[in-house]
Amino acid sequence: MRFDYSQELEDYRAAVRAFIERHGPGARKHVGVRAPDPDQVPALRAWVARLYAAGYLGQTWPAAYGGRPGATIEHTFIVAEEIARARTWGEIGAGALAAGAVLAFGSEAQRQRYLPRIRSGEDLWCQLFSEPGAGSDLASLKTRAVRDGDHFVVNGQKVWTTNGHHADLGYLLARTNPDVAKQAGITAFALDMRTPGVDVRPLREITGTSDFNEVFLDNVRIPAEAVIGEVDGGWRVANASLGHERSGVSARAVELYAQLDDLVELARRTTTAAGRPAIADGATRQRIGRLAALAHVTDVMSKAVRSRIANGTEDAADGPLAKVFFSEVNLAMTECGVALQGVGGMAVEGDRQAYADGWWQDAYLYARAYTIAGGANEVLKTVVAERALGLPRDKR
Amino acid sequence: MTGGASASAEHDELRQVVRKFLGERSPSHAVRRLMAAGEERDHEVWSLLAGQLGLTGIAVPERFGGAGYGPAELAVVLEEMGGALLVAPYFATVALAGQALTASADEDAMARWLPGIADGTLTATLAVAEESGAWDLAEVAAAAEPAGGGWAVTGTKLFVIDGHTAGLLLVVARAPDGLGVFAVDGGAAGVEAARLDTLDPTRALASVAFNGAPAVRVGVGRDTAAWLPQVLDLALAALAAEQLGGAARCLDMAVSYAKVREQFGRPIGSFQAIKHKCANLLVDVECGRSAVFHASAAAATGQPDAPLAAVLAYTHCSQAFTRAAKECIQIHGGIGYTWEHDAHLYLRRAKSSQLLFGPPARQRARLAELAGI
Repeated sequence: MRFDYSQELEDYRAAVRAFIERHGPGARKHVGVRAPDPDQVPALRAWVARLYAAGYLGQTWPAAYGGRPGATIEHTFIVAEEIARARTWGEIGAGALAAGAVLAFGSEAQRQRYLPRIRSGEDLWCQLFSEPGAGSDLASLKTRAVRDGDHFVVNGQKVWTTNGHHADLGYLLARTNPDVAKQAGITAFALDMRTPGVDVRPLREITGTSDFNEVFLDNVRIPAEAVIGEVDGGWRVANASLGHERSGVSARAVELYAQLDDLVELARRTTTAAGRPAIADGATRQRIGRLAALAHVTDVMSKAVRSRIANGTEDAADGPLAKVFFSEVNLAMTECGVALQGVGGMAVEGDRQAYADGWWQDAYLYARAYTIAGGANEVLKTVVAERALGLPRDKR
Repeated sequence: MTGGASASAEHDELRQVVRKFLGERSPSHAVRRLMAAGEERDHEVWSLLAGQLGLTGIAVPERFGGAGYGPAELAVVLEEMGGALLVAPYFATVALAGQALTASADEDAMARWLPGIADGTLTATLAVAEESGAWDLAEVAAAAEPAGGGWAVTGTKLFVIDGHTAGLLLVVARAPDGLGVFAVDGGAAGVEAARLDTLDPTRALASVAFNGAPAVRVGVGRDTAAWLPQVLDLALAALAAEQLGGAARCLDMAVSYAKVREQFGRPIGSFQAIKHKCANLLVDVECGRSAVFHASAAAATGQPDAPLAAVLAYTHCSQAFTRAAKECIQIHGGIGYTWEHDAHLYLRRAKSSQLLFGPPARQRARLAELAGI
């Protein structure tokens, strides 16, 4: 297990950081996986194209499709970390996720068709997996795709579709065979979001912003050549994709460290009953000290996971375990940030009284997304208990 | 209303009446309509709850037009209002200003304003916090100067509940002879109030700037330090009751959902992880109920441990409500994360209530002090 980077990787990190400083679209207003405002999208498409052109995105793809020879997963981690450190935008949407699926399971024609347009920023993708009745239990999804000649006709409803309102293409999971085990009858598709019958409706979240969408599919006709992988083989495709989401592991630790710095700054600026800065207060110091320790553990843990991924020795419980831990530390940290502001902690974005324009209040509300999205923590803990500890399996 | 059993029967009856009324008159869509419009109340609902139900006068002495009950009955009403997230200046008018006037024992002030509070024609509030946001009398900097037979108040109050709509503002300010409470007409010259953008859109908070605003002193001839701290403790106990109602509603919502939402082919409430969450919330709520009962009973009968009981109830219920709101969202999963679902309104109310009277750490420090630690 190796936590420090080689000189080559450190040089690479410096180059990425300089690139983001020079060309990046600037710091984001909110934490987390959020959708940009519509008027930001053209510039962000250009930014995505620039990241691909510079070899900072898609670098581990085969060279024939634009990958960078010699690039490793470590390089991918470094880019994600630097984007997190700058609190700027990375890739908008699910392009990398879709590209992974197309590269691993798609046809040559699909690769030629989709990959260049992902690289150029022309096609933004969204992920059409979750449904109202299929969240943590994704395999129970009900959206139906029925074969009709050289097309599939799709009906159903998807939800929590980040960037659905900006997307050109959707990476869709639908049920093609209802008569087999639930995992065995699912197929993956590339859906042109402009197909008649696709209705994208923004959802407003707890934060008051609209980052997610509901997507209604009403007799949507998808050509058979848009099936990714084999018909009824979509569960395997999806699982491989969800595995790719692990590259976020180390970026989250960077996010926590940045947040910790902000927390310390906040504690310097707010005062306690005695009129002293909160940072000088024993109880506050202990609380922040504990959070600092937790942030550090998150960092070390994610580095360990990252190292295992690089060596191909990762455990199936690694991702869930890291996500549960991170999401709980993040929640505790945002709670502390709001609490330190006292009564002023009630003021939100847009109010003159709000500290840092309500950044902490938004982060506090958003923190709940991390404990739910991508598998509720309760479900992930069951996965950890079964896979890492070998406890008897729950019926699923 | 003194005996245990009969008080409890009367409280139950009061609770049922208020619950039914709010169920009909303050359902979620009504709360959301007021919230979106930025309105402080539905005037029809207000006049019904004041006139037909007499709720605005519940803690006002009978000789000033009220029902003559006290903190214990008020707690029952506030618990129900907290559960329904009623959008109305009730807490500010009745729990803060009304109880402050009564505690002042100032006959003139009581005769002048309590009848209006009792019959619902006057809304009022109490303005304490300033720059630091804390409800700490030691931090009050607003000044009151004698002016033309009355007083003039200057200073800025922050996070004043319903401060921009209240007809009467009771302002804590520093006079040459010490701390005092000064009654300022909401529409008086030299008063500038603006609503703040805050976490909880169901409870309006305002900044109120006073620039030589004409005022009447409340509690003349009595040492303010003898009764004002008691008012703040009454406010804590009242808020704890409201928080308890919110927590109980979150638990109800979570349990109802856990019974019907299916994942992995069974109701999620059949999973032990969810059962334990719900059971923990029930423990919190039941402890909160006892703490609120104790606090309001101690306040009603003027027990020496009333301040301790009030801080204890507030501290516990702050945590219980915040946790219940948080778990309610977690148990609902994604749907609980949406704006459309009410769960976040409770989280917003919970977090704001926890902060409303200053940082939780200060409350805990005071609790330790009162407990003799």
